[in-house]
Amino acid sequence: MAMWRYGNLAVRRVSGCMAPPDIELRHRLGHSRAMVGENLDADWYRQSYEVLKQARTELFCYVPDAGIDPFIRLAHADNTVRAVVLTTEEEGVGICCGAWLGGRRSALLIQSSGVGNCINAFSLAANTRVPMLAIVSMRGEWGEGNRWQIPMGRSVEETMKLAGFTVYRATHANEAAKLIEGAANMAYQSEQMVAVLLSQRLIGAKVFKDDP
Amino acid sequence: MGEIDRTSAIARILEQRKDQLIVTGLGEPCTDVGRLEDRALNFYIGGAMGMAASVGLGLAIAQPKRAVVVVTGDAELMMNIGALATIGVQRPRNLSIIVMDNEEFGETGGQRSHTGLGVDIAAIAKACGIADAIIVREESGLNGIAARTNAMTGPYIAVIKIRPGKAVGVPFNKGLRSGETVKATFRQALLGQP
Repeated sequence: MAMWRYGNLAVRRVSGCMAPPDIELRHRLGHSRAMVGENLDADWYRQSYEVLKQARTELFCYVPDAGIDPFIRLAHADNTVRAVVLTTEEEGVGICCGAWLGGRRSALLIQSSGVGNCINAFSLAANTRVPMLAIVSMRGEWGEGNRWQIPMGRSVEETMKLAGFTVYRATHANEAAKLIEGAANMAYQSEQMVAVLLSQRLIGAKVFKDDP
Repeated sequence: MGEIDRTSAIARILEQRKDQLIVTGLGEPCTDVGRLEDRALNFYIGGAMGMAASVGLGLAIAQPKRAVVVVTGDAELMMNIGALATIGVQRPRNLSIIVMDNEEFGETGGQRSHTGLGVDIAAIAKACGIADAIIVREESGLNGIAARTNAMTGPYIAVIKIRPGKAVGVPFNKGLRSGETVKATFRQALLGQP
């Protein structure tokens, strides 16, 4: 188990699974999104984070969204990985590519609206065939109350396919961790671009009140 | 408008390159670096404009004991200027960014770029928390940059005001070829596996 020091941060490099830190996800979820959705149980987040660790993911690049917030908190609380906040999602494409060049595995945690920001950046992964694992929280689909989210929500899956991704969609809590596990293995071992879309049925749709 | 010759400048800036991991942004920086020495630990990016600094950051995080040097153009960096904010937050001690600043879009006809219209990349970098940010306007200012890129006290950024125009001499097109090959070559040399 090697230590790697980085700025003020000492990080242990691990291989194999480490138990993720104990975070009160349920509490956090309650605050992050007033939701309608099938399953607000946080267990699938923890299970999914564990499979990402088992796949030796060491770097998480993110632009926050409520639907991926538990992953972000788990990563920040885990001193065996590094979490990097981005100004725009395309930065994460470059960082994940650089990390792979340096021998480390990483994942993008982004909202569906951020996929559009990345289109040209994705050519970096397509042309170099570095693994690109994207976990995308959906907006602009089932249950959406903000019409500004709809155009990107409608086009995100096709956009990612056209950019070179194999796309999976997690709709139910009992399938999410398994989908993410397979996606991570496919990305890292076969050097593929793979996305898992976390549907609003799964993560909950934000509730907007009607005008009186 | 800059006065520094890009070809001689890059030779001085990279004169301590032996163990460095070098990332080049699209266009002339690929030629600058590749013609100086085409080595396995050069990662040439032939497109994906804006990505060079971010790739450098990811590499610097993954390889904290190796000096990482990004060589890119002013407009390439401006396209993803938020990368400086993220680098300022992450503070990679081993990352240096060399901006070959010709104050124009050299690949597309020499249209004036933001740095030619008053934007100061070094000042942006400082405001992002990259304290060690300089602009070099004269050849004498190149002294010490090579040592600085190996000092591991970064992040560090040097904006080199070069003369407009393409690098003179034999073209170097490896950046336009297979990114998969460049990646495999780089990883083989660094990690012992493609």
